[in-house]
Amino acid sequence: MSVPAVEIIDVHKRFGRTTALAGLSFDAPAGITGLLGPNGAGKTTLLRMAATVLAPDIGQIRLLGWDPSLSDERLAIRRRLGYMPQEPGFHRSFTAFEFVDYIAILKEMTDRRTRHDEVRRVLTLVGVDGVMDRKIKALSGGMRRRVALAQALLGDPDILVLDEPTAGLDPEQRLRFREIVSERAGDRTVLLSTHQTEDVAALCPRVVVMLDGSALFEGTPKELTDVAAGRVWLAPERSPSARLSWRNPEGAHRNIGDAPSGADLVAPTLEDGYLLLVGQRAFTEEEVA
Amino acid sequence: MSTTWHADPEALELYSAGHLDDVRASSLEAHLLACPHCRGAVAARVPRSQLDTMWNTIEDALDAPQPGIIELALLQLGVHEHVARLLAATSSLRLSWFLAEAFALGSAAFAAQHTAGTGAGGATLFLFLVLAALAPVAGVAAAFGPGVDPAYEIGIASPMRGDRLLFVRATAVLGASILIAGIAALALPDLDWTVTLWLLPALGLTLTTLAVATWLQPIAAACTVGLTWLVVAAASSVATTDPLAAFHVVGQLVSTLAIVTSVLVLAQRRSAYEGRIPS
Repeated sequence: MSVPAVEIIDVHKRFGRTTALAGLSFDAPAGITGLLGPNGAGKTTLLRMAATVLAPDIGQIRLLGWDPSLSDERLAIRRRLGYMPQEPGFHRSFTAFEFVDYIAILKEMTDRRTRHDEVRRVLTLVGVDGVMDRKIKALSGGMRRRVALAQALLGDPDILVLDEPTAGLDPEQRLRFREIVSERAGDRTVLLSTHQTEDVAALCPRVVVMLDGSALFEGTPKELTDVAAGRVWLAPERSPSARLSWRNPEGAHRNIGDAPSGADLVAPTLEDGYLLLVGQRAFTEEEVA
Repeated sequence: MSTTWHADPEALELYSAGHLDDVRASSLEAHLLACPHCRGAVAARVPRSQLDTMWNTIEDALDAPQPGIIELALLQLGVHEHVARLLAATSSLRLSWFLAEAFALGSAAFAAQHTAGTGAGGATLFLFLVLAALAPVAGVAAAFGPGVDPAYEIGIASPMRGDRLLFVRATAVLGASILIAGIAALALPDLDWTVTLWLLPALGLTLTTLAVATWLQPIAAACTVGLTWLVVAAASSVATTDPLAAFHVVGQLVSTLAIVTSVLVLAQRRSAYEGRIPS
């Protein structure tokens, strides 16, 4: 049995008085693993660790079988890693081409011709080849995120770490993103954090729900959906036993919680399962990092 | 225009492989201009990979962005193109930075020129020397690190070592600062050894900043080193009544010691630059 590309073993991380990760453990094998969780659940902290830019206080991370706390092994990991941070920064005076070219140089692509071919390949892949000679500062937010995704795809990395990659993208761009990432996944490992349960349902064979720095759930999207089986029902009013409830477009209340006997049960969605797990904290917590 | 005859297939074969002699190739090319049939025959004989390579070369020549002024200047100086691109992403290697530095040092030199021989002459020369020594420190602080490099987080997740990137940028910043300060120094009243007194302190302060930055973030390191330097330089000029006391023998010796110590610290601790974002 092969070693999972990403192994998170009892990882703790604190920022001052705030606990970002509290004994988190899980494995991410080849394929796309979606991280769901409210703001402050520790997703960004975890992804920064998976991208080797942050070290745990306690616990261990292994990426592609290597230990990122060791200099040589960290370098080997970085050679096979693509990372798109939650808030990717850009040299705004660079064009899209120049920026991705700059990152390609940081990724040790020093031969000009080969590097430029690779830069064009990834920019074409994300659909910004038509504006690659425009300054980054002149691009829309959605275009910039696609440029950020392009740089992460340089060199066809074995591990792709994507922090909120679909934030700010319009529906068409999100579909294009799904297409790109699902095509790339194959036997590579993609760690993807998102607030969009639709992205997870559409893309991820495996999902981890995080809350307060630990994993609340690990499994398939279907298993997450099944968490809400028999616990979603429609009623004319908000039900007292509902943990969450909202009026749907037809005017009925969609209730999630412990269904009363005789309730009009409906098929749950992945979002129902997620909401049932994290409850109302999903709407109140602050992002830690 | 078209033609009624077609080229010899053997000649086309040799031409496609690049083996036809110049005279026959020139004749054949004249024919190809007028004969779509033979042009098609040549295209069919050229291997796909060769066409792709040719197309990529053309595309690269047409599509690759034209480098900016600083990048062009670096290329002219013989800097490798990928190093020039790394340097072009440095805030303190921009034209606006150079202009600001030239303005500050030029103003100090101008003031020294116009106060020479007066009671304020020593103070204005002191100001020039202090600024000249601090300019590369500020440049190095703005060269790399969170807060000054917008793509820092992406950069430290890449395999290029942080220490290498910083040293490449620091070297370029130091070189540019020395050049600008050297030109500004030509405006000083007396072109004797006095105008070079800032060189060793500049090198010492820059290396000390790099060494301290293995513990602190580069901006914090530069502020700490720069302020310490200002206080020490000002205090020594007040205490000794020699406005340039910090630049004379003791100051030069301390600078040399700082250079040696910093190099040793950097050799020992350069892995600290490999990058971890601040909490």
